[in-house]
Formats: sequence, structure tokens, C-alpha cells
Amino acid sequence: MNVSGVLILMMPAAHLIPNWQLLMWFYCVVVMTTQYYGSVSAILFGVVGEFTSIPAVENGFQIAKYGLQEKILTGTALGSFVGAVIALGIFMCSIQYYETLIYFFTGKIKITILVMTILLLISMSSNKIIATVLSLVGLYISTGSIWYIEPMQQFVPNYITYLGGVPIIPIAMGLLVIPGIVRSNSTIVNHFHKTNDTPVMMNSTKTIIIGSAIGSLSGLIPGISYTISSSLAEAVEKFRNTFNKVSSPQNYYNNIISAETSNNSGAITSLIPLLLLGLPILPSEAIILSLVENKGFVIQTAFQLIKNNAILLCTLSVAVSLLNFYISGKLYKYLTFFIRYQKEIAGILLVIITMSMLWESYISGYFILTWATLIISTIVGFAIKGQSAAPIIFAALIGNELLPELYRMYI
Amino acid sequence: MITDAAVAELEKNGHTVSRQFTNSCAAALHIVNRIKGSTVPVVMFVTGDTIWSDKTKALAVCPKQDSWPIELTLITSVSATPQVMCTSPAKTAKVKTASELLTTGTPVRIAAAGEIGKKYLRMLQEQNPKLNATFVPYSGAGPIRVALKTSDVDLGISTACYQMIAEDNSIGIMQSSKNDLVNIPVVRVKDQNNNEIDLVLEQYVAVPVGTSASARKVLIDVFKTESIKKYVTSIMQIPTNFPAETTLTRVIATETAIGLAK
Repeated sequence: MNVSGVLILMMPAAHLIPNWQLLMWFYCVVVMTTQYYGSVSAILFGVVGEFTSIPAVENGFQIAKYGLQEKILTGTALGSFVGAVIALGIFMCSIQYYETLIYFFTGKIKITILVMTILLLISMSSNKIIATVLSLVGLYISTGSIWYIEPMQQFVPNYITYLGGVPIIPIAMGLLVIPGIVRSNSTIVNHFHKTNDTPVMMNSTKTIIIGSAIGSLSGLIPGISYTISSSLAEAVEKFRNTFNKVSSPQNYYNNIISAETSNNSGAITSLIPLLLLGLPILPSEAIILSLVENKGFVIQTAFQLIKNNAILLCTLSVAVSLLNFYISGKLYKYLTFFIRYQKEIAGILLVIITMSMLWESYISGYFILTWATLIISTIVGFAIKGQSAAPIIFAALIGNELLPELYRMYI
Repeated sequence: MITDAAVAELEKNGHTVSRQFTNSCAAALHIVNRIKGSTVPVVMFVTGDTIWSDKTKALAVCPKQDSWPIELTLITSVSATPQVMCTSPAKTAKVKTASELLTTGTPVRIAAAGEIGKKYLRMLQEQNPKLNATFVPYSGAGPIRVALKTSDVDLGISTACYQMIAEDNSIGIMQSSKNDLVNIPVVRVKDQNNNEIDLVLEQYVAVPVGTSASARKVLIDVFKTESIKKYVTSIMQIPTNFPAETTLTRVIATETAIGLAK
């Protein structure tokens, strides 16, 4: 499950987290962590956890022929760790230039970034027409205009509560999470088989540094951010391999290391616009922003949090990265347990969703509205085949920011 | 924020406090309405939010009182601060003084949020025909501050301007009433009877009708403490502690003077 899925799943529980600072730290940890484990399932079992794992699946299948899966997991963990540390350094430097950054991010720039994010999400969808329609629906939902339709008001007493937008949790759960979980029961290909012909691996220092640089830069691209980092780094590495004329297993090895290093770097630099400027460039960031705004987050306090806790953030990031490095690089065999029992885990997650939606409907006080929205969204989620759900969720979450900004620009 | 200081004070006195932020006044009222048992829901309002005004034109912010799910009563005031207009700190200001703004006809974009800020600007426009301003709506003081920094607007009207003037090289053009903590020219607007009025943004505390006298006393005492006054002063706002009756009278008087009340 990707970062957005994890966040949506925990949205009802967000009521229990006392302040936005904790939620933001939680998000940072989730972002830093998920990038480590995608490679484990991808390389060992060919399971694509999220888009960034595709190069690991493709090259992992090839490298399995040489019996190098275990060796490469140590390599990807190391690359991910180094990539994270380099990106963290860039993040910390950007804090020094906060004042310059904030002067640069005018209303027009924000509009450009948010619109570009939606367009890029649409372009990545399998059915672009459906994704476009859904994005427009998302923007409409964000305005709360649906409650100006009288028949709708009859169904929801005190509908005015939602004039700022409709309940997003059941929508996101139905469109993205439930179809994602049900579809996750894909065929697992066991890549474990060894040969005696194990070649000696060469030094991958350059690969890691280049992967970190590509990831750090692409992490700042709105909409796609670190989801494209791994594919981009793999493409560059393939080119380098051709140029360097290195051996075949070393090619696959470098491709994976570069891809896995870059997505970790990208995941961290993608936090810069969110944490320093309150500007989401990914659906998962729009989700966390909607959560923290309900707990008192405003742009100045976000910067103050980072500025006052820079050492804590660094320590936390390095500690989380070290822990993930150890688990994904050394203890990965224990993680395979979860991959082997996908169906059972999917069942447990669906039970958790049911419980969390019951909790959400109790907290909001709108039982029928919550469940009706969930059921309709789930039906739509299955009908559109999942891939197109990100644009509608992003549009629904940032519409309240984008549409007033557009209005202000034209007056 | 003032609520942070109030919560800290309440917790220091052994009370358990749960804070919930919402996107709109309507959502806050809905939550307050659902709170049951011994918990006392407390709402902080500012003038113009407002309990007694007809809010048909501000649906997303605070709907008409007759559609509210709960009846609230004021128990004390917290602060009364003039509206202040300041320049963007990011570039050379188009206008630097009140007379320049009001008499030269220089076109400017002015950001404002909340009923009182918007009303101050509208009244300035009505009473100074040469003021060539485009009103740009924002949802609060934070977004106005960002818009000023990025130069999306030339000027802003907000109590947050006081801090920007102190910290960000922003220039204080004018304020709607006297604030002894800062030296900014005062430009008062006139009511329907042509009398100059001291237009101030008041913050006050409200609880549901029926809240016990002891609970009210705890809250009133908290907002009288030195730590709250110190915080309010630190952001260059003016602390007040008017009792419930006076607070209500002041709010109604202000809203009547500027045509917000029914």
C-alpha cells in the first residue's frame, strides 16, 4: 500500500492524535519508511507495492537468475540510507532560504503548481478522460456546492457543516483504499533461486550519488514527485551502463540501487514545499494537509516547527532511516511473512476499514451520509479501476485552496 | 494563539482540555452541539462572526444564527484591537501614507478577511471617493500575511499587520482606532449619523446557554490572568475583560454602527 493509502486508512484515527505537530512527524516517518520496504516485496516476490517499485520488479526478476536477491537487498538498503541522508542535507539547507522561497511562491506560482499537479496526475492515469472528469468532480466537491442542491439538504440535517466541502474520508476510502486492497491479491512470483555462478559486485558509490541527485531534484516536481524518481534514475543508469560497458548482472544491480536510492531522496525533498510553504505537491501531502489543518496548522507555524526542531527532525530522520536500513537490509526474511499472507492481511485491513468508518460516522454524527458516501465511492472506485482515483482525491482536497486563488488572481 | 495561552492556564489549574480546530464556524458549532456530559464546550468568536448579525452572505464562514444548531451566550471579552492596514514588505510600497492612499487615486489591491476588516475597507471606500482599491478576499490573517509577503496584494487589513510591521519591514499606513502600543496614524470611519466611530475587532468567549455558573467562573477567571494579558499584549493587541453584559452591549453597538446587526 502506498503513502496515500496508509494515510487514508488512518484518517479516522487522526481524531485521537492530539496535535498537528505529531501528525506531521508521523507523516514524515511514513514517507521515509515506505520507500525502504517496497523493494523487498518487489525483488523477492515481484509484487509492485507502488509505482516506484516497478524498476525493482523488472530488474529483480533478472538478477534472481544470478541468485543475488539477498545481496542486492543489502545494497538497496544502503543506497536508500545514503540517499535519505543526502536529501536531508538539502532539506536542511532549504530552511536557511525560507524567506527567499516564500517571496517566490506567489499566488500565480501556487496556481501553476497545483494545476500542473492535477494535469500530471491525469496524464499518469490509464484513462485520461475519466481522470479529467473525476478531477472536475473533485473540484466541485471541494466547494461544498453540492449542499446548495435542495434535495441533498433534505437527506442531511445541519448540512451547513459541510459547506466548506463534503466528507472526504469515506470518499478517499471508497475510491482508493478499498479497491487497492481487494486488487492487491495479485499472483506472487517467488524469485528465490540460487546458482553457483555468483559474480562479484563492483563499487556502486557513483550510482548511489547520481541516484540521490536525481531523486532529490525529481522529488520537487509537482504531481509526480518521487513516484517518477526511480524510473528516471533507472533510465539514467541504463544509459551509464551502456556507456561503461559493464557486465549484465552489474547492470541490473546498478539499476535497482539507483532506482531505490532515488525514491528515498525524492520522498524527503518532496516534503520541502509541504513543510516550509504549506504547499502540497502529491495526493498524500494534500491528505495530510487536510488532517493537520483541522488541528490548527497554519503556514507560519509549520515553518516555526521545522526551524525550532531542525535537530530533532534530523535525529528522527537518521534514526528512522537507520532502523529501516537494518530491517530491510538484514531482517527482510521476516518481512516476507506479510507478503505470503496477503489475502489474510487484506481481510484484516477491510475489517479495520469497517471499524474505522463506524468510528468516523459516530464522530461526525452522520451515519447515513458517511456510509452512503462510502458505498457510492467504492462502486465508482471499482468502476474506474483504481488508477484514476488520485486526481479526484487531490482535486477535492486542494480545491478550497486553488479555486479562491484563481478568483483572487482575476479580480 | 490566545487559545494556546488559555489552554495552558486551564491545564495548569488541573483542568483537562481538548482542542478541536475546524474549517468553518458552522463545523465548530456542530461539534459544540454534539458535546454531552460534564464537558463544557467553549467557543471563541470575533466581532462580525457573529451571534447577532444576519450572515446570509457569508454561508461558508458563519451561517445565519437561526440555522445554528445551538444557542450561545457571551461570558467575557478578551481583546479589543483596531483594524490596521499595512504594506507588502516584499517590494517598494505603492503608497506609504494614509493621505497618499486616500487622495491620490493610486490603484491598489487590498487583502482583508473577516467581517470587520472587510467592513472597514468598504466604509473607507464609501467615505473617500478617491480611494482606488480592489478588495481581495482572504480566509484569515495567516493567508493575508503570506499574500503580503509574496506581493500578491499591495496592502492588507488585519490585526496580524502589527506583527508584520514589527518584524517584516512592513509600513503601517493607518489603523481604525487608537492602539497605545504602536504609533500608527488613526483613520476613523463614520457611522450612518456621520459620527466617527472607533472600529475595533473584539475577541470574546461564548458558551452554550445553560452552562453552570461555576464553569463560567472558571473560564472568566482564566481570561483575567496575567499570562493571557501578557500574550495579548505581546502580539500588540489590547487586552480587555468586560463582563458578559458589557461585552454584549459593545458587540451590538459596534455591529449596529457599521450596519452588520439586524
